[in-house]
Amino acid sequence: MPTTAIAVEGLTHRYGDKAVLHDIAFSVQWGEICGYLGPNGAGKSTTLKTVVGLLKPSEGRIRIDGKDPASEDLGAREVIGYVSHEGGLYQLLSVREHLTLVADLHELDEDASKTRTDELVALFEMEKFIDKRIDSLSRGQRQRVALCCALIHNPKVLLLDEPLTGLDVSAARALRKLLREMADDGAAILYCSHILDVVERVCDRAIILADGRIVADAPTSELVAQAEDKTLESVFHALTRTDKIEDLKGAFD
Amino acid sequence: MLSDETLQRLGVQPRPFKALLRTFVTMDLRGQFYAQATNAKPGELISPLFWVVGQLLTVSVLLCAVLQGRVEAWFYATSNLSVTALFMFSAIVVEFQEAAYDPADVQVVGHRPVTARTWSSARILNLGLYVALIGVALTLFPTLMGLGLRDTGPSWLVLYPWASAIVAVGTASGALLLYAVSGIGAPGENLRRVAAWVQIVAILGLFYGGQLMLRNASGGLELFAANPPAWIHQLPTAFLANDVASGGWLFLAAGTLISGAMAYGALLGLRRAWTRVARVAPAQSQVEVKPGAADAMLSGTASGSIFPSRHEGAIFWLTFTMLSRDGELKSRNLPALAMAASAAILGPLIGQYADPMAGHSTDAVLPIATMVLLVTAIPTLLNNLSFSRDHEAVWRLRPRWGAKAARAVQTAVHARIFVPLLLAHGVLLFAMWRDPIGAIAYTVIAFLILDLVMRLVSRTLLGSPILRRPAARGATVGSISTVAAGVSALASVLGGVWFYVAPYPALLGGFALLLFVAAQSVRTGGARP
Amino acid sequence: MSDWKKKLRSPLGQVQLLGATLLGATIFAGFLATQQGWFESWIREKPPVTSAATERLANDIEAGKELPIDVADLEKLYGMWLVADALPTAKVAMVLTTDDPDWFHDRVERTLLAGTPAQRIRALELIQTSRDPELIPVLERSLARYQTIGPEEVIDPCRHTLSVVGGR
Repeated sequence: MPTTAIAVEGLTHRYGDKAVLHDIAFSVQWGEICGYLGPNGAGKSTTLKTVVGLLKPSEGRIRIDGKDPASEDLGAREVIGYVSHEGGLYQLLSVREHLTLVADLHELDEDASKTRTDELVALFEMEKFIDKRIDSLSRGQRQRVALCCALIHNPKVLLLDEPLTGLDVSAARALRKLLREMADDGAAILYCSHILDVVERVCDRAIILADGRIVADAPTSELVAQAEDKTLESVFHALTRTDKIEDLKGAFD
Repeated sequence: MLSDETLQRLGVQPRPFKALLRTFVTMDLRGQFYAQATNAKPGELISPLFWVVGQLLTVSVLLCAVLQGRVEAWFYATSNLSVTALFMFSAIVVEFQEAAYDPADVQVVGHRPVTARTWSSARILNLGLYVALIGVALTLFPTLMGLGLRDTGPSWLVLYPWASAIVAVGTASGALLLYAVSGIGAPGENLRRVAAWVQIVAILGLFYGGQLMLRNASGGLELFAANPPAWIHQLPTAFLANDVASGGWLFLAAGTLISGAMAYGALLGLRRAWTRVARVAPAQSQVEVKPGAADAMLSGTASGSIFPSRHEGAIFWLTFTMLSRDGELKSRNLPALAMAASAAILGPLIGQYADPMAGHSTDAVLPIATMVLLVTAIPTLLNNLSFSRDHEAVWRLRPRWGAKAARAVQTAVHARIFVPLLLAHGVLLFAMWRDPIGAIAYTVIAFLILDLVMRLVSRTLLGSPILRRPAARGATVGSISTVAAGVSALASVLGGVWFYVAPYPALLGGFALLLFVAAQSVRTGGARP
Repeated sequence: MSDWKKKLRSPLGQVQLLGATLLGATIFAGFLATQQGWFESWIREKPPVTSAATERLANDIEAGKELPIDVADLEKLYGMWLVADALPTAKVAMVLTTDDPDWFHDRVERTLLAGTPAQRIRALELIQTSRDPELIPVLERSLARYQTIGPEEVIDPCRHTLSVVGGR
């Protein structure tokens, strides 16, 4: 098994003439929870979409467990779990139907997937709306469903784009605990968010993106130690609000 | 046929394929509105798919009834096969997103271990089931009623459905291939616009035949069918009809091969489109919007001066902007306006577009008919405004939705659609009639009729905020059938009165005044939900 | 929500609804297929009601008066003939068949295609009085059509008219 779970090299992506990602390079190791932060429009979601293979990057090389996620060889996609910003659910299906669909798409063993489904439904307290149509659910309930769909096949690589959106306290807590357990079991997690106090608590490492470029990539504890008030928020603010990105880039590497 | 071994041999993952197919069929059979209704109205028990099938069965039985006993088997078959092609093409393209390619697929399936071949095969088969259902709806009546014709035999029972299947598969595949070629950048939108214009051209053809029949008080259909123009014989459907009527099989065999090849090409095209279009994900790109001069002017002045309140000005601006920018909305509106456009294009071409004020002549019917057709589009245009991808934002509109908001929507529809069309049409009339008074009078009367009808239907169709529902297959027509029928009847009556009073200035003036007073006295709809 | 509503809303319920609709349509279509006679009974020309003015015109023609005749007049005379019990008099027949040959050819063909059997026979009789050889293709087409889709009672009169006009 490759030592690096997620490897991104020289990632550049353009929409038309406009480049939204500039030569991004980072890696996530097995057993690591890596935060991926940035202000709105920095390119976080675009990065995640290229990493899972939904977008073909203009330039660059991406490997998940040593395999290209965009290729027709499905090796990379078999180990990926992904929660997108948009949700990624068929609205007309019930929760149970959607989970069954995902289990079938991953060709999971039926008994094992039933057990796993029951565990996740209990964890996220979804019993009450398991047979309701997804378009009748609240935002938070849909997010729980999306998380279940990403976790049902026990992914080794998990990519989360704003996973706590709409979740209540208990669900958010359950998720944080689950992520820690998964990382302890060896999973690699890329956690994309701008809720910095959660990132500070959950993530081992943080990558900060600004204007399509990485301006910081270091363990969370080191980043926090550099700040005056010992919070990730002030580090983030300092790095992403200044005009002189180039001067500060690498200061926290 | 769908055994796991067969699927694997075809390079399709069996379990994901079956799961996707099951999912797509389930979604086809569910309406969009169930979740919102706790006390379901009868209409909401029926899926939009049912309305589509119902409409097609109705069109089919009406066509067969008109032709029964009057035409020979060849013309009967050609007509029905041609209508099958036209409606199949429209059904696939106008509801392309629901029928063939759903952008949600990328989000749900794109990162899963599912090959493009598996996904596209499931989509194609799902589309095939949809095509089969529509094909059955369009084939059922001609097949069985055709058996009653004097010049058909038992072979009709086999040959006609065979020909209809060729047409259905070929047309649906053609629509998909068109998408695969033109859909880059904005999946489906380019294709929908092309299809809308194809519809207009096809309707022009139907009008051409129709006016030949209308021009003669009797026997028009029989005469046309007995001696059709040479180009009719060149239609692909005519070649198939040759075999159907004569009991042959050569063209049917050729047609089977061609439509089969097109279906295979469509499969490849759809798969290629998935990997190319979906990966590029053009919907993600940022689009700069630079309002045109007219937009800026209208939005600025309307908000401030035309409307008594900023709220109404904002509703006007929102409606006007959606009508201008929403490609899906424009594509849904185009077919509704196609009939009137066809009449306005065809009339001058065949020299039957005379001034109604000049006298009661058959040549003066078509300008009135153009207006009647434009009026009948009102229910569809207003109903289309209720659908939007951004329907979840409707909470912003609900609190103060009322009669004034509905009035602002009507004004926007006038400003964006009807007034420009009427002005362009007025210029055409002036060029044809060389009579500015006649052109102006026509345009004014047309506007008054449009305004009156819009106010009348707004009580039903603008009682709730616009942009409140997600788009659903068939929902553009099914739920407003009653209103549409009523508007059609009213428009015909008003058109008839207009035709009668047009040559008499005093009566015409009185008619105009009556329309104006009636419109002003209608309380605009828009009760709070 | 009641049980039947729940069942109807389910995918299976919708499939059953579609199936029932198609089954109903099949039965209805089968019924309509047996009603060919009813459909054919609607095939008829509806000439305008003969007015006093039209009768006066016909009388004037018979009296030998030189009158301007336009297509509208021809239509009225033709309609009068169509519903009259007897053939028109010689001069009216002459006007109908020779005053505007193009109009006559088109008009009589429409009756041959879209009239009742009785109206078609009357058209054939008028063609016999004209003996216009340019109507031979029309007669041949009509005969082929009658032999294919009927009405059968017009086949022999058509064949006879063809022999009279074609000199066969």
